[in-house]
Amino acid sequence: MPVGTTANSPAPDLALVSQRRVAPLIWLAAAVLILLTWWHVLTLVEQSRQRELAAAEKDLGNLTRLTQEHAIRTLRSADQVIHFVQSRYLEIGERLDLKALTANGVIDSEIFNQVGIIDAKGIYVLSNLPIASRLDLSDRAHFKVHVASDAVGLFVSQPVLGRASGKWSIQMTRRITRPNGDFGGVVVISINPDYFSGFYSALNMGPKGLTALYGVDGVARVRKIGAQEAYGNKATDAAMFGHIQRGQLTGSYTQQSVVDGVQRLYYYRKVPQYDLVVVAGLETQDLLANHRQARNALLLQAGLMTLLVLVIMRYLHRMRLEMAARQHAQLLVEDRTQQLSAIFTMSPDGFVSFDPQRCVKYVSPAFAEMTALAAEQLDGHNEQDFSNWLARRCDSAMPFAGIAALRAKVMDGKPDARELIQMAREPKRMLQVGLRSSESSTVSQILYFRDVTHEFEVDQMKSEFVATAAHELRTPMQSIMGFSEILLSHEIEPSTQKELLTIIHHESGQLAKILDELLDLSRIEARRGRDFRFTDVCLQDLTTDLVKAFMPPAGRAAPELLMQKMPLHVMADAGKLRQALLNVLSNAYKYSPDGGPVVLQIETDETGAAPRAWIHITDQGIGMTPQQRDRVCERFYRADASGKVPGSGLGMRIVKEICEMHGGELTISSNLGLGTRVSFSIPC
Amino acid sequence: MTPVLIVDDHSDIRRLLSITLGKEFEILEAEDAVGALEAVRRHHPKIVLLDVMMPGKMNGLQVLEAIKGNPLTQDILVAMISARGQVADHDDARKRGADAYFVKPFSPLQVANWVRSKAA
Repeated sequence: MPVGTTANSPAPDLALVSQRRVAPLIWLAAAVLILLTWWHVLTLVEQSRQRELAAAEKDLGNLTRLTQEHAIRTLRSADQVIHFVQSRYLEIGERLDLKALTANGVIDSEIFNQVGIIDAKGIYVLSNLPIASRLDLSDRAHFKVHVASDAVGLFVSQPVLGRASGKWSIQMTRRITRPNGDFGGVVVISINPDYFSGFYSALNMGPKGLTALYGVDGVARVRKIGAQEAYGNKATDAAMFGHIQRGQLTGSYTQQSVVDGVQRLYYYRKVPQYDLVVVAGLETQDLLANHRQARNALLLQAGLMTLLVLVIMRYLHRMRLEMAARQHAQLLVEDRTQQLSAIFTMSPDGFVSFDPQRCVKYVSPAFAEMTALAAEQLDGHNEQDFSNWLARRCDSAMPFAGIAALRAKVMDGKPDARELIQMAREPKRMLQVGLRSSESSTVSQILYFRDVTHEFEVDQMKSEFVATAAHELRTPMQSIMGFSEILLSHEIEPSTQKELLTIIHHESGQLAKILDELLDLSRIEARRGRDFRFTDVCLQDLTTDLVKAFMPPAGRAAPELLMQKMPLHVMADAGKLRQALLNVLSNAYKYSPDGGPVVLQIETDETGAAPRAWIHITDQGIGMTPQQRDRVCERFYRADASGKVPGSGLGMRIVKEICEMHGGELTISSNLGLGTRVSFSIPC
Repeated sequence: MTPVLIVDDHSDIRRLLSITLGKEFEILEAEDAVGALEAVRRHHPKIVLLDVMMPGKMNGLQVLEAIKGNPLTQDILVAMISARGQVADHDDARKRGADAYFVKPFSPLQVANWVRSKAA
C-alpha cells in the first residue's frame, strides 16, 4: 500500500507543451504534402498537355509538308502546261487547238478545268473548252497584273467564279511576251479548287480539322473544315501572316479561328517560290481529348489524395485532442493525488481509511508516527485486528474501546463519534479518535486521530489555575466571612474586635488586589496593546517617582536606585510600565523575606541592532530553581507552593505581556537561595 | 475539655476556628502535615479540622489517610476544610474516610455546631 508516497510524474507539463508545438508542425506537414501532391499532378497534367500538343504539332507538321508538296507539284504541273501553251501560242497564234491538245493528252488536263489564252486586248480568245462568245476579261486581276510588265511571273489569283466555266477556280496566269517585247496576252489555267480539297479530304482531319491553302494576301485559295469547303475567305488576322511577314516561314501557333471561332493548333508552311501558305489545324479541344481524360483521372487522384490526407489529419487531430484531454485529466488526477498526499503527509492529524470490507486501506504517516503502528503492519487487516493492535498500545488509564464501540456511538445518532485515548509509550500522547462512516464505494469508514496532548495539558493547567485561583480567592474571603460572622454572633472584647476587623480589612484588600490583577491580565491579553498610550517617557523620572511612592514591607529599606545621569528617553505607556515595575519590585521584596537590598538599575545597551534601555531589579531572596524560573511567566504559576507568599500567580505574566507590548524583552536570572534578577528592556 | 486539632497553613484560619471553638474545646494547632501527625500522635485529639491544600510533601488528604489508616488513630473524627468545592473532591475525601467536608468560605458557626455534635 502506498503510504505517504507519491508517484513522480514525468514532467507532464512539458509533454503538453511539446504537443502544442507538434500540432502546427503536423498541420504544416499535411499542407506541404497536399501542395506537393497538387504540384506534381498539375505538372503531370501540363506535361501531358505539352506532349499531346507536341505530338499533334508533329503530325500537323508532317501533314503540312505533304500539302505543301502537293501544292508545289500541282503548281509546277500547271506552270509546265502554261509554259507549253505560251510557247505554242507564240509559234502558231490562234491556230493553237487547245481542245485537241487536251483531248489527245498532250496537255494533262487532270489538274485544271480549263486552259486558255486572253489576247492583248483582254479577250478570251482560246480555250480547251467551247467558248460561247469572245469574252472580255480585261478587268480581271489575273490579266491586269501582266499588262505592264513581265515582272510578276506566275500569278495565282484568288478564287473566282469563272465567267467562262461557271465554276470556282483559281486562275494561274503568265504573260505572253512577243519577241519584240510587246504584250501579247496571257495564258490562263483555271484550276478547280476541288483538286486541292479532294486531296485534303483524303487527309481525314476530323469534323473540325482545317486544311487550307492561303495566299500571303490572307485570302484562302482553298479552305476545308471537316466536310465544308470554302474559297476566297479572308483571314488576314490569322497569326501566321504576321509570322511570315517577320520571316518565319514555318511554324505553329494556337489561335481562335478568325473564321469560325474554334480554337485550333495550327501549323503553317510557306510554299517556296509562290506567295502561298499551306496550313493545317486541329481543334485543341479535340486533340486534347485524351489529355483531358488523363488530366481528369490525375485530378481525381489528387483530390482523393487530398481528401485522404485531410481525413487522416482530422483523425490525428481528434486523436491528439483526445490524448491532450486524457493527459490533462491524468495531470489533474496526479495533481490531486499529490495534493492529497502532501496534505496527508503534512497533516498533523492521522487518518486510517477502511475499504468496503472494513479492512485497512490507507494509513497516513501522522498516524504511524503517533501510534508507532506501521502502515505495512496494518495493511489489509480487518478492523478487529486494528482495534486490538491499537488498544495494546494505549495506556490502561485511557484505553481504546475499539472501532465497534465508536460505531455504536455513531449508530446512536452521533454522526461524529469521538473518544479520548492515551498512548502508553512516552511522551504519552493524548489522542482524540473520531469515526466517520462513508457512503463512498471505495471507503466504508475513516478513523481520524488528533494529538490533543497540548490542549489536554492546557486544560489541566486551567483546571489547576481555577483551583488555585479559587483557593486564593476563597482564603481571604474565608477570613472576611468567618471573622464578620464571629463578630456578629459572639461577644468579643473591643481589642480583639479591632484585631479581627484589621484582618477583615487586610484580607479585603488582598481580595481586591487579586481581582485587579486578573482583570489587568485579561484586559492586556484581550486588547493586545491597543489600549496602550505610548508617550515619551524619561526612565530616570519614572523610576525615581516609582521608588519614592513604593511602600516597602515593614522593616525593609526602600529600593536602591542606580542610574546614569544623562536622561534616558523611551516611548512607553508610563502607567503600564509603572505597573510592571511595581509587580517586579513587589516580588523582589516578597521573595526576599530575610531582607537584603533590592536594587533597581537603569542602563543603556548599544550592542544590539538597535539601542535599548534595560531596567534590572535585583534581590537577594530565596531565588528559584531553573525549572521554576522557566515557568514563572506562565499564567497562574506560583513559584512558591507554600501559599505563604500572597499572590495570584499572575504578576509576572502581566510583566511579560507589558514588556512585549513595548517591543522589549524580559529575561530572568536566578539562583536558588541567592536571589533573582529580573531585566526588562525597552527600545530607545 | 475535648481536644480539637486545627490544621491550616493560614494563621488567620487557625485563629478564626480557635476563637470560635476556644471557649468550649481544648484547641491544638498545626500549620502543616508533619505538625498535624505529630499532634495526633501526642495528644490523640477527638476531632481534627484538616485543611486539604497545604505546603510540604503531604497534603491534607494524605494526612487523613494516615490517621484513618492507623488503628490507633482511626477513631479520630476528621473534617476536611478545602477551597475545592467540587463533588469529586468531596467524594474523594469521603472515600478516604473523612467524617465531614467544609468548603471555604465556610461558616465558623456551622463548623462549631458539627464539632459540638460530634464531641457530645
